[in-house]
Amino acid sequence: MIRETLRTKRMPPWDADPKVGHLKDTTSLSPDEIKTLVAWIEAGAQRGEGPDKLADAKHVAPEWPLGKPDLVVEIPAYKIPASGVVDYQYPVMANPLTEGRWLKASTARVQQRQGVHHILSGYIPEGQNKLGGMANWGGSVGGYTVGMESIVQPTDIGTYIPGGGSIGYQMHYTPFGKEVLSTQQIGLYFYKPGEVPKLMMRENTIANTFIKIPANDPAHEEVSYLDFPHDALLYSAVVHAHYRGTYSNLKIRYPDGTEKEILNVPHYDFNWQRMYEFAEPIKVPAGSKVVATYIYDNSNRNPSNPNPNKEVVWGDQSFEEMFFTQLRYRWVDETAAKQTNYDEDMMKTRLIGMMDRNLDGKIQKSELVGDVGDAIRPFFEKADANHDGGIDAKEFEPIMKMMGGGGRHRDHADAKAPEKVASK
Amino acid sequence: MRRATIVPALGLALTLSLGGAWQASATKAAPAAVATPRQVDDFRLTTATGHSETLYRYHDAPAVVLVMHAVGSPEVRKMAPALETLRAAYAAKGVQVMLIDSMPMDTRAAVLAEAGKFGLKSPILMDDLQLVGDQLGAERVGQVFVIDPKSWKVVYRGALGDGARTGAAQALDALVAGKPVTVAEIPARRSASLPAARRRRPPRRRFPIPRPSRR
Repeated sequence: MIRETLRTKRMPPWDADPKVGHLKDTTSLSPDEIKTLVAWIEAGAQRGEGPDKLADAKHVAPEWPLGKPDLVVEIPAYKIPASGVVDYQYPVMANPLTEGRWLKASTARVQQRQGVHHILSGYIPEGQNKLGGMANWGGSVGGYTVGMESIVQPTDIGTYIPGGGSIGYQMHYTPFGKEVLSTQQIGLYFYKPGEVPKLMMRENTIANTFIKIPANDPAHEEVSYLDFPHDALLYSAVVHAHYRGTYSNLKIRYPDGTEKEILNVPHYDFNWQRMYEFAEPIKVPAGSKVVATYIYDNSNRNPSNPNPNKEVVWGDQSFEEMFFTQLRYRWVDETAAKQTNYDEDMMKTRLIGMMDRNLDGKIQKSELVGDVGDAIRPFFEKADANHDGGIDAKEFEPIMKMMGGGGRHRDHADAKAPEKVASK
Repeated sequence: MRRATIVPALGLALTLSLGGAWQASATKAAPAAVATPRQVDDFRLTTATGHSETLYRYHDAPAVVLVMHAVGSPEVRKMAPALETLRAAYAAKGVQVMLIDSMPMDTRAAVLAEAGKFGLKSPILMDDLQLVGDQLGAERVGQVFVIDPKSWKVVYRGALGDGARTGAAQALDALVAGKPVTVAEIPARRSASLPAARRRRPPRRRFPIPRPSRR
């Protein structure tokens, strides 16, 4: 069994390609360790001399891997049925913080791991509609995906959580054959009262809601990118797809057209959706694209595939699909005291990034996809004001206005963080 | 030559045999079946393009062909057109052809450059730890293994042949037709030998297990 999991690279559960980029906290074994282990097993796994050190090791996993949290938020329990499909749940609870705090780290504790696909969260300011799903969410207050560990901010970087208001959660539960009561907590770790980190961490997602995966296609590729309008530093990436996702890649395409791979996941494993942290923050110069590629196996050769005979599009449930690479980054000239609206600038070209397959920064008519593409197609020539055959970012602005701004993004509901927070 | 400088430096036994061409060998009496059909365990390797291939994924294919590859190998370069002929001819029949590079010094970039130059379109799997080549019993660069996914046993090993009628193609024709493979072994010659998996002695003080024996 151990030999088999090593030969098929299922264990250790580390799916990132060691030949691409440099990542922190890799849990992989070294080539020598793997060879030694396989050779020992093939030699009959014989016991050596001396005491069994593993038998003596009394490892007990700590209740909280980062130590006792400053605040434990109990997300309302939910009874997961034995079968069927559970729509996303959006519980909302009053923010237990009465004064704003800077978030340093978070850990999710999920008791029913088989039944919890993910947890997303967001701060909802006072007075905003609390029952509108994620529409009015601000910054994240912790989260979880299958296989994820604690989220720890680098030194002197934080996310501001204002006092008052509410915290909203998006809970994705997946029935697994047994009715269970799912309970879950998120432990939050703050900078000390009065302590203000110098820098702001931002989060955004390279998504593609237009994916369309043909039935029985063993290797369907989709691409999407975010255009970075200002200099940024990239800290981490989480790769997320569902049962048909088999591959993911992340690269920077610089303004001069050169490219650099920064993360490669040759075999994506739904059960181990880690946050890959770069060993050193990666510079993303203004005008660069951070490009994600996914490959989906919708054939019967994919043992996880619930139905190879079905065309699959974007959807919440695991039997549908996603293209979702979550990035953590900071804008180089942004500080906690001097915050920017650069995320809003970046969102203006997000739809272009979902459709622009040839990465030329414009949408050609042949690249129009989905409902948005259908809506633009009759007016394409008019939208292409300079008649160069493509709709660029500037030409896309009036389209965005007609569409009402281009969709939700997390930061528009952010309450401004104070430069200093009163000591408790 | 690249090999002449790099390989001795790594202390690897990469030698060219002085035997005759595979065609000459093919004229000798070929065994009707592989003497000791070896079952190939499942493996997953990353390809030179950074993708992933898993052997048992092809459980429903009539056959899987694995070919030992090395950058700069005259044998592989010479057989590249026939290999491409074989790949193209049998792809429509569901046969999966893949190359395996078990050479520790071969980089992905070098493998891709070589594949592009010599027209190799099949995925090339990087056997960085030589575990797969070792289990296959691969001895020579250019050596071909035809695997029957019904049993995961090697039913043909040796020279490629012309990619259409002889050698591996005969075995594939039999598998595609659901018939027994009759010509199962033709020695592959005039090619570089492969390094065995170099295994590190376990650190006794930290891990009390005996030294693994080489097979």
